[in-house]
Amino acid sequence: MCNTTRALRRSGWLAVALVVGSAGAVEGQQRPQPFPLSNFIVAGYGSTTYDATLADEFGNNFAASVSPVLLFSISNDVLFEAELEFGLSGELTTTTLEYAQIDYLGFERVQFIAGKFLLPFGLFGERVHPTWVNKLPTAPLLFGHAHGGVAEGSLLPVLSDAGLMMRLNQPLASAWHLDLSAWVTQGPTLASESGDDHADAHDTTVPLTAALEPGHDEASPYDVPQVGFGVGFNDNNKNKMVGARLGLVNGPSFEVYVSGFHAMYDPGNYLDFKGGALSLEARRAGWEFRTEAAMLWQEFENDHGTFQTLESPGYYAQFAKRFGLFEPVLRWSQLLDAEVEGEVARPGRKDFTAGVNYWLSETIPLKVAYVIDPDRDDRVLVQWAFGF
Amino acid sequence: MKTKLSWILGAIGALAMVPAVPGTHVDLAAQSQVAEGAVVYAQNCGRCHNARSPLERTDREWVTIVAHMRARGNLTKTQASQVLDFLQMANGTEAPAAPVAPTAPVRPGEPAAEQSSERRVGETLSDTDWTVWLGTRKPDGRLSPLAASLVLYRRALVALPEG
Repeated sequence: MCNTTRALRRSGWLAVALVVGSAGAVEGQQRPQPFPLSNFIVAGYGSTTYDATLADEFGNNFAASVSPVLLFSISNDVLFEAELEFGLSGELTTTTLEYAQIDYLGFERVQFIAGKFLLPFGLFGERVHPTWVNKLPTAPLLFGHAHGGVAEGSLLPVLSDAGLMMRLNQPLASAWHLDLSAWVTQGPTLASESGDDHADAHDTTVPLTAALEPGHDEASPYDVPQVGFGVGFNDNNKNKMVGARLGLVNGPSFEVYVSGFHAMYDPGNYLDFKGGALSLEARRAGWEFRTEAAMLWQEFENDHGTFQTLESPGYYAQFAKRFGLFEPVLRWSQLLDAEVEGEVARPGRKDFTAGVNYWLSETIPLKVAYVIDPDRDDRVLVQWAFGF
Repeated sequence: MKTKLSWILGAIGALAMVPAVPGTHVDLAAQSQVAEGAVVYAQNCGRCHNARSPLERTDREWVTIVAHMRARGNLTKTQASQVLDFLQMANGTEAPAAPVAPTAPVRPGEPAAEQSSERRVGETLSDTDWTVWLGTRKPDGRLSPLAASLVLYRRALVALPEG
């Protein structure tokens, strides 16, 4: 090959390299800079708990959990946030995705949220359930904290589901404003259909049966299936859950909310599941009072093939007062008898909890509480919680 | 009533915190934004949990945290912006350069207009006066995180050499 040809080939390759390289350089100059990693934050909370049942035949348990909250500001108006919960209780390690959502915050008074999020039904589940925020080591009977989206011993778990939500803050006169949240999500499913690996371990499909009533010879069983929330991302029917919470808020001193939701929970779209709640909070000069009441209506098909409705009401009231670093807390929590057409299908429960918190810092409480439970054994709990 | 007074005093205290460099003159708009942020902070950031200290995070971290709290607490965009300005001013980290207040043009022969909107920072009050004035000292004498952060910030201001 002659030298001229070789030279042309080399210069050709050189030209190609120059063109490609310059194009890459130009593209690099035009490519937006990666978002700074310093806008990614790991926050969260955790706790260790010692739970001692005073009767001799029950054990004493240590438990621990940590819930990292992952936050990433994609831009000034878009936030990604997620919370995981890793728990250790007895011999089991549990993992729960509490929420994983994208928030669009570009509007002045309206927010749009997509993903899996805590449902604004009442206040406890959506705002107060983190261990360093909850002023007692236990959750109220109304809104128990349970993994896998299935209530264990409580009326409802901390509700979390996948879908869309809109939130509105409408200022009113003075310090008052309206607080509205409306959502549509996949809705509850039969706990036995969830496919949750923990379902078998926690026996979530035990039917509810009526307590023996005085004067009756036998119990009247009602086989009411247990429902789960957000236990999986496969919707079991064409129905979507719709719900809303409307509140009237005056600064930090007073808040009142009414919440509700409606869904069908069976694959055939026959069975209703509805809930309503009323929540009230008041704060003044270091003391705080909160009370919530809720009612669930769950339709089910009985042995005769007809539809009946299980009505399950409950409420709690909590009072706390801060004295320097110490904070005594009192809570009365009650699930009333669940009834089917006036007949008790599940007996109620109640407990009274008295506790004292010592705040090592504003985010680290040491809690000691005594739970008086007329139907079960009294308990003593010591919990060290921390928020970070 | 007492709580409301402490919010207002907190807002006034926040006004006196701006800017970072003693003797720098700033416009009232920035001071107002920070003061409003102090009020929003006092009204909202203790509704669910104890209010977090501004000292916990850097300026950039507060951007993400405040967005998270805006979503949790359903604040408006303006409220979130005001709280962010307050937290970034109160956290004691590097503060943005304060703008100089615009001055009215002076015609020959006329006296210059009084700069009544200009303030000086870090003067007059001791630590105790600040915290009592802000109403953020607890009954046992310990400082709330807000008061502690303001005291530290003020000390930093006073310690800076005159510019």
